[in-house]
Amino acid sequence: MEVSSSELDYKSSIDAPQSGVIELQNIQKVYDTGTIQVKALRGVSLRVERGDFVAIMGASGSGKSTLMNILGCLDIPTKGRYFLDGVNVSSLSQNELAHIRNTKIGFVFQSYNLVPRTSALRNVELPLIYGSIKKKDRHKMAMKSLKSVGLGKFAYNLPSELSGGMQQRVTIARAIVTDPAMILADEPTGALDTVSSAMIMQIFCKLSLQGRTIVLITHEPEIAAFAKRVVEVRDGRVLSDRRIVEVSSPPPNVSPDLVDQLSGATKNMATSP
Amino acid sequence: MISSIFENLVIAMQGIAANRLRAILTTLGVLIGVASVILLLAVGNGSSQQIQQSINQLGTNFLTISPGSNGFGALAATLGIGGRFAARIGTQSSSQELTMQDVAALENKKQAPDIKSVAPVVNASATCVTGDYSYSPSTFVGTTPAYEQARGYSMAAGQFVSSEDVTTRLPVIDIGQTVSAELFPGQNPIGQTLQCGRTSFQVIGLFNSKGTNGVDNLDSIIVAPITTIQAELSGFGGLSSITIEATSSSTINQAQAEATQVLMQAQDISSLANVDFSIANQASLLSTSTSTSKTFTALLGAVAAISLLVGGIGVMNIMLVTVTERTREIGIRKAVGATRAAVMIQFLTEAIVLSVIGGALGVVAALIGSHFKIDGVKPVIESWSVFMAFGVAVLIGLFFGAYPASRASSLNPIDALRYE
Ligand SMILES: Nc1ncnc2c1ncn2[C@@H]1O[C@H](COP(=O)(O)OP(=O)(O)OP(=O)(O)O)[C@@H](O)[C@H]1O
Ligand SMILES: [Mg+2]
Repeated sequence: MEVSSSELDYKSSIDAPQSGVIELQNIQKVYDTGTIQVKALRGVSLRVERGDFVAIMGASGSGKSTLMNILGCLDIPTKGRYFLDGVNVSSLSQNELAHIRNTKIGFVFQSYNLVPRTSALRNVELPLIYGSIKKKDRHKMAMKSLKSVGLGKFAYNLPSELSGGMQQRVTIARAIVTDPAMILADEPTGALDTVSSAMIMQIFCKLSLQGRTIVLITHEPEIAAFAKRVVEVRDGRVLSDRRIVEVSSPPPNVSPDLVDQLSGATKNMATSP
Repeated sequence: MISSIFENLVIAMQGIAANRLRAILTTLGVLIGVASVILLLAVGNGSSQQIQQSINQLGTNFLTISPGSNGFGALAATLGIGGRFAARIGTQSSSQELTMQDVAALENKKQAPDIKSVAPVVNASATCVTGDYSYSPSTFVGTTPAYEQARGYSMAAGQFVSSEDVTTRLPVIDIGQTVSAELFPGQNPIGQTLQCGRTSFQVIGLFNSKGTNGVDNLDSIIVAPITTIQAELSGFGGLSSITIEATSSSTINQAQAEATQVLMQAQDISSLANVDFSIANQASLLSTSTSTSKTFTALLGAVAAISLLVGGIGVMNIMLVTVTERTREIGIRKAVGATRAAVMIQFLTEAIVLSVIGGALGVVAALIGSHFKIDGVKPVIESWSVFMAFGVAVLIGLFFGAYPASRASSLNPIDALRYE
């Protein structure tokens, strides 16, 4: 167990974003509620390599969601710098942030967050629509993405016609359809039963095997056990940072059966009309 | 930013389709607004055309002289408003009566070269009875043969009261279509007898239908020789009015001036201020009625515009509810990369689509509605009102959609995603 990315390590190299996908430099976030100032993040520095699978853990109120909003470019930090895929996003305008979210980040939320009364396919197409991708390409890309999570047959179903696990798979399909630099998941299995949770985690493992960068927020150790690296936050600070396996190696705890099954299912989907 | 208009429309239609009943009700508000603007303007327009038509029907170039300086008596007489009514106004406000001497003076071609013919008129009122039927015509006049042409009546059967009938005081009458239908249903009225007051009249003529002048039924009329009416019903007092026919419609103003001169001489009046009769002129009547019906149309249009405004507020109301309901969806869209402008356009398009559909259906409803008579008036749609109403509906969608759309676009994605 080693503490590899504490606040102090990065003070010296503050101006030089390395090859990491994510580079947080002394990020602070203060919520001004009018009466009191809530310091949700008190200086977080974190570097995530391309292809890493990071679990961020912490108790309630520790600042996980605040960190996730900043990582996801949904919010801007009060202080500090944030480089995503080489772009300094801490000083971008609202419209530029929207563009970054569109092209570089794939979100997976706890509560699925699919647009209701809209087919799975169209939900997956959504980021492509805002990215002004042509209709023909869009359809192809979304279909491919849905097939990769094993939902090729359910492309035209509405979210209300799908189970929770299936809806979460649609969300994952939507998150990866733009081929983002980072997949950001906030408690993705929080609302699911154990079987569906296992299925979702295998999909994340598969995405990791494909070389995608994943940041996953959870408070369940069993979920964090799939990650290559576990970062623990408390009171707005990084408490510990454990490297479980190397960035280049496959994620731990992958059941080879499930992977085979999944890729087999995907292959079947791909060949079916 | 979504570049394609088509893509915007697809998203808007999906949003609308998500809550069909609500969309239909909202659309209905705009529909009613647009349809009522078009239809009420058409009714106003139709009724003004109808009034002009019936004024033309009254006879093309005649003047009506009434005793008393109150212009309303002449106006009422010109319109042919019920004899009793006109007679009452005439006698009440007059000290100087119109007489047969005045008629003779007006017939003098030297003094009044532009007057073609002069018809004295006496109004009477009576209930007429035959067999089991009884009826009171709205107009019952005694007059001379000149009346027929001056007032533009034509015969469907029989003939008009003749000069001989006048000189011999024959109890003969001509009747309008309504009188015929009321008293002789399914029969030929010519040659039949009719008891009006204490006198028995023989029907010698039936007029062609003249319809209504917008105020009165012109077919509810009985015409008798003036002498007969004076002897039997009204007595030998002053005349109720004098109808004058000008030589042509272009000489009507000269005819009016001549008639004024002649009557002032005949009645020994030296100054225009002391004139104790009034002359109603076809042309002035037409312009009065045109301006009246314009006011009427504007009023109808204003009422309809209010309902269109209410429809617009309905659009705004529904869009505000929609934005609140779909806060989460807005959060999702923003999270996956929708800019403020894209969200704004989405909801604005939805509002405009609602009002365009409502507007288009409103135009269709108005076009269908215009085939029906409304309160006796055939609506006449003017094409500008269709374009105006539709255009205003679209603008209303834009205007009332702008606020909800800007509210949607300014939502913070984090709060929106957390919204339950
Ligand atoms: N919009 C806000 N305004 C004010 N304070 C806030 C706001 N959002 C979060 N906070 C505060 O910041 C701190 C960190 O909150 P955050 O939501 O990041 O915690 P968390 O780790 O996600 O907790 P949980 O596990 O309960 O989701 C908390 O004390 C919270 O009350
Ligand atoms: Mg949280």
